[in-house]
Amino acid sequence: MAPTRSAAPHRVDRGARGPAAPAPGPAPRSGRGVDRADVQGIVGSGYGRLPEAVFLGLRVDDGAAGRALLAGLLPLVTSMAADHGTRALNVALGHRGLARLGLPQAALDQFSLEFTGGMTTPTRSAFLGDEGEHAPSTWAWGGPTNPRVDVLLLLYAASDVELRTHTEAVRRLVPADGVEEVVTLPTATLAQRDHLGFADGISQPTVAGLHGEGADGDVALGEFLLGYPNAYGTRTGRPLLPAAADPGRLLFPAPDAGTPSVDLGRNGTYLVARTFALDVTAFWDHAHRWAARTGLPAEQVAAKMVGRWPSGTSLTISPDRDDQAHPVDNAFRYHRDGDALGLGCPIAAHARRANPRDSLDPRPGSEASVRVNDRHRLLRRGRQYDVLPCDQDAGDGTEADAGRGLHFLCVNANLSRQFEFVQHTWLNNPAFAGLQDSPDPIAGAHAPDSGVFPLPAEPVRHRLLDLPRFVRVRGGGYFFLPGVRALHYLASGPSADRRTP
Amino acid sequence: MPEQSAVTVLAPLPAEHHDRAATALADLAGPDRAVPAFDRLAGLHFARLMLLDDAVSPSGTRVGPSLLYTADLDGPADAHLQALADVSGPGLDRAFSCCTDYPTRPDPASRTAWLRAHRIPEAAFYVNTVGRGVSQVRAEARLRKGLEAYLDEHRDDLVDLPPAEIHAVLRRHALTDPDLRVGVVPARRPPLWWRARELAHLLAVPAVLLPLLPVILLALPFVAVVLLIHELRDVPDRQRPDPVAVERLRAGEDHVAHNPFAAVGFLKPGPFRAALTRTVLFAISYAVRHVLNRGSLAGVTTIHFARWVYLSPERMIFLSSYDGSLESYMDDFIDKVAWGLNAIFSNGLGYPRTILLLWRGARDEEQFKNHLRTRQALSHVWWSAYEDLTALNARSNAAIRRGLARRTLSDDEARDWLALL
Repeated sequence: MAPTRSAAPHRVDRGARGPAAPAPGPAPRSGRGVDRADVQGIVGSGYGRLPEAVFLGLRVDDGAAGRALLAGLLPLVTSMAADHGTRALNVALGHRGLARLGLPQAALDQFSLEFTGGMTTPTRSAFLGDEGEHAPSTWAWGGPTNPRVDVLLLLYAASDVELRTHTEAVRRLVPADGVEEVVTLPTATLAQRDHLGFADGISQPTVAGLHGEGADGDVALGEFLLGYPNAYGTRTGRPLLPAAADPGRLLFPAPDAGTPSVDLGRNGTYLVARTFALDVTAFWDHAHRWAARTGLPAEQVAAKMVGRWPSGTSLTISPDRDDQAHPVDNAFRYHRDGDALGLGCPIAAHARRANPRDSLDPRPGSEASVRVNDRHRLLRRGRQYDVLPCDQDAGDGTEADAGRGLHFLCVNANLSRQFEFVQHTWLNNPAFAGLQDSPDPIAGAHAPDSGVFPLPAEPVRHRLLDLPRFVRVRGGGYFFLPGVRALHYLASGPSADRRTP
Repeated sequence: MPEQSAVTVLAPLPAEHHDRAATALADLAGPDRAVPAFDRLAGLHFARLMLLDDAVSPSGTRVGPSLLYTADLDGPADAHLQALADVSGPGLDRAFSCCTDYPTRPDPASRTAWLRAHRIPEAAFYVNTVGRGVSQVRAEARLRKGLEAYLDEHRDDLVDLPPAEIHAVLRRHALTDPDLRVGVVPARRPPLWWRARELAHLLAVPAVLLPLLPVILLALPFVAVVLLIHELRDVPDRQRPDPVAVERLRAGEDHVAHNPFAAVGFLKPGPFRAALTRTVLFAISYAVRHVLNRGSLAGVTTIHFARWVYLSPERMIFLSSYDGSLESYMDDFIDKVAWGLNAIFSNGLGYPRTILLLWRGARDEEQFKNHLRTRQALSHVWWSAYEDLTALNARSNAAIRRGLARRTLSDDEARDWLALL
């Protein structure tokens, strides 16, 4: 590392821009609870009270400038403890971005292989189903032909005006040289329903120590935050640095390291970003076509594919009609509540395969089944969008649908066992839960017009054939969402006494 | 309904021919896929060719590279060797011609002799469903497709009939279609002599061991203490797999419904581990032969075939064909059968630390996954007879056939049966 870079953060005159980030004192040497001030807010909530959002992708060409940016952003970063204003900002970093910011190779190598390699390595693209017209080479952002996104900024605000002010304030912190905003992803105002007309984001895991108080059935904290015991009672691998690399004791000590080490991962996690263009017309055309063939109402056919009624009502609890009068039930289970065969909610339905609850081995219907299921959970934090300005390939804008879609965001500590497993083994897999030729009807990768959607019925099932692809992958990336202390650490940059031995 | 056999052929490869053999296998996996003509070998479920790299044993001896051929098949193994030597001759020649003693002018007879000479035994061989042959799997897949298509077409005419009557209609339809007719008769059971032999083995092993039981029980506490001492001295792997190697392995995975898996490793040194490994493999072999032979390996329903083979007294290979991704395979192992994995694999060098053979080990998720990826070997050439079918698919197709083969079902039985479609 060039020693001159260590002075970089001082280039930003924080005093001139409002409250300076209080440099955190030495990290406590022990303590079992989560330090909420150290966890970025997006882990704890999707900022439902802030309906406006925009995501900015930045490329860092100069490490010092990148660190200056981080230092400038720090006072604005929203932690879980400070999640109450009319604005919020969270910061996520790509693997190459971390390298640009000066993180030593030894630390970079300790991140998970999925994050290190990135979402667009060829084998990973094949695994996720990002092939053909979904391939990264066709993407609007995050692909090999797009500008690299080293820093992903998530900005939220209570109103449109507020978001504009917020965005301007953040943009003013971007150094003129060495950092460039390369992607702007506006979002639609947060609504009750998604573009397909369905309530979304209903089933989220309750995480011990974040939302729940450690009740039975809560998912282990280490599934969503690095540095804590996960569902197997061990700490997921993450970058640990020699204690000497952190003279200011910004970071927490790592309890599970052989030699005295500090934990760069603690209170951080991985953020998955995927942009899906959604062909709403094709979805409803398909629902109407098969409504005519099956004699079922189109809304019911659509609900069967989604796995819930438009209001969010469970098909298992209310198989025949949407029940808008009652609050959405999310405590149900498929087998325990008598829907083993999928006569209410089809086994192939999107919601059922994204979270099969007690549907799978071992012993469907048992607590053991739920425990295994809960090793593959995601905290979903996505937002809808109406336009994707960076997309050159969204059609000519005349069709009703041009450009609509979802910026899917999710948080998990183990990309391979959580996000990638769900996408591959539950959504894409045509043989999910013993099915044949049946990928997820909404989010599954399959050749166009090739999938089958079995709709169980007595005494003879329906089958919806020639399943089109309603979703097209338009961008994405894997990011590290550091804890606040880790952000401070990264912003303060490498110094002479911080080199790894 | 044939019984299943395993074939394992191991041939040492002169080190100087390593690259030539690797190229030959890469061709057979790529542009020359059709050369071995595995699809012309009746009764072949899975076949693979691998190049095992050289290695250094814990005692410091150098083990040269070798070539491995394995097959999971219906019927007797020797008949497969003969068919292979004949039908797949050009493929065999391409793969094995680098081996020192491979016939210089190969013909079916000399190839067969060579294959027999290099065949090695399996220490244990798991078959998902004993007796279900390739032709049955394929016929039942066609049957299901045919019945599904008929239901797609005629659902409206059927829904108002009682379930038992729908079953009867489907049966009549199957009788008229030559492709589906096979489904109206049940799959044949294995021959009587075979069932008698299995029964004899099932009874003979406990009969022999029973008198030894007091001795075994007395010895158990001492074995446990020795085991604990060994486990305390074990040194688990700490390294993470090499990203480049993982990419190479991944490139060969997740193209069809199932994947090949292979892991090679040395046993922990010493007579105690050697004896323990033999004992555990004996138990596994007995269990998979008589108990775990109907679609589930102690709760894991995604494995078609698996085998454990001694490459040398101190080095083993585990091979399997499993459904889904390696991640889901490893998760299944950890979540459902960690104790079983521990019992056998903890005798391998570098395995995550176990307690009394069965506990911890694989439950140390990340270490276990790193260990498997580190020990994983590339299955250079791999062939499947039914690429689109998972083991659960084959099982459910067989259940469809069992139901169709019955002349009549009650309404309740027919309702359950129709839910399979």
